[in-house]
Amino acid sequence: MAFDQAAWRVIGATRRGRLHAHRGEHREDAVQGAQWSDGWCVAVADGAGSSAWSRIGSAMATSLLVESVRDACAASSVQERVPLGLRDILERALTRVVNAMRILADEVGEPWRAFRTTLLAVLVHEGQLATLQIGDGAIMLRSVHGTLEHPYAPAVGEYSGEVAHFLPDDGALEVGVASIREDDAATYDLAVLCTDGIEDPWYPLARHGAALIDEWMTGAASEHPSPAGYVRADIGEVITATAPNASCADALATWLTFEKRGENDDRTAAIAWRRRD
Amino acid sequence: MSMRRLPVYILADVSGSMQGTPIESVKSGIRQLHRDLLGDPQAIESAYLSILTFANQAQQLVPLTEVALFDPPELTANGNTNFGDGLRLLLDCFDRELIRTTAEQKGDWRPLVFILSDGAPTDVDWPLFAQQLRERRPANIIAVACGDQADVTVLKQVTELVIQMQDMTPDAFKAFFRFVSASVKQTSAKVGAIADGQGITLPPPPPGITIVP
Repeated sequence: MAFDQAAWRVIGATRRGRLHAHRGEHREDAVQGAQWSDGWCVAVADGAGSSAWSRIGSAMATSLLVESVRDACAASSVQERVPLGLRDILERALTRVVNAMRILADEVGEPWRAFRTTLLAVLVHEGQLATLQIGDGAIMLRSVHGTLEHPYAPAVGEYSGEVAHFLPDDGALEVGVASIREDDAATYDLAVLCTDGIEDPWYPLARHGAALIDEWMTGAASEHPSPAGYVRADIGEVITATAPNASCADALATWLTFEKRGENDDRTAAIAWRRRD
Repeated sequence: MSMRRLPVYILADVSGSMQGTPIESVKSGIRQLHRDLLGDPQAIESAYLSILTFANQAQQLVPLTEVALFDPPELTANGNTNFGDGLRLLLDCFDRELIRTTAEQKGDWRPLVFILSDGAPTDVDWPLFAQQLRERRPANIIAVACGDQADVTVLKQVTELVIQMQDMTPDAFKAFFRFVSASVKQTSAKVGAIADGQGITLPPPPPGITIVP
């Protein structure tokens, strides 16, 4: 996934993890993005490993959310409109996602939990930025001053892989709505979303996030600490000022082939950065 | 430690009633489990095995050890069935050996525990430790009633998930340890929500082994 939208460049990539590849199973992560004249939206999702149709859940969640947001924002850009804030736009989109997942589950005779997925999103529209998160994975925002922000604390259970909330479970919509954060988009020049296939090997991102971004921007090891046992993919920089977005997206997809013992989950990331031209 | 482990504990009854074919089958089964896991690329990276036994007392014969370095222990059967000491030791191992997730590090995957017993406890303390295991839920525990003399109601006090081996023939133990191996391989995937306490999804038990309702 790759596009330019006025002030921003946006890419996304996803790769099946070794666990699923070894077993001949589907990737359960998904990434989607969309743009319109005044903004863009990107979403990533990770289907629950214990849910039979989670790959459908993650694909639905990302596609429907992004589509709903795009339609609402594009409609709000025409002259005769009822202005909606980003919070309202995201809440309505999330509601649509939950309802659609439940309707599909009911229609095919499966329990809702068969489609379980996390969902993370970043929306930029008319100079405002909003985020939401349900489940694990991570969002990072870099301010124009270089400070990395983490809007959400890691969703940790007692042990690895334990997630408190999934769509379309009861209560997950409320959790997602409560998670919505808004800010001035001018404050930021970079946004990252990733599923836990990246968050876990780089955990905690509060410590290693800077090294991750440096690696994407320079292709080299950073002065900031990288996680122990991490072996980089044979790729240079991912985010460049000059290469076309499609090349950056390919580079990100290659970067996702990094090695770290025991880290075999699907990997998905989306990166949005401000254009300098 | 920079990598996440799937801890697998086997707590085996080695009381006098396990003498002969049963204990030899358990030893053989552990060796078979080890070989199976050595052949699985995911398990060899993340599974760690520990063997605990209980008879008059409980012992940890092998601490939590990565599959590649695991050495199947010798087992001998003799003595009473001090089930409470076995459970106490299991809880102690959890406290000493497991790594929980914190803000600074990702912890282990939720441990898998297989408890094998062919009879009834001879100690009086076991209910206390069984209650702690049920209340704390520190692991995914599967209790295995070996043969028709095993006290299923006691095992049900420790965990909801109790399976029964109809007999204690070598073939039955072999099938059981294949089930253990398949469970370990399957559990390396994400286990899902903690919100509703949903447990792991295990493979179907083989013929001769039934889930106790």
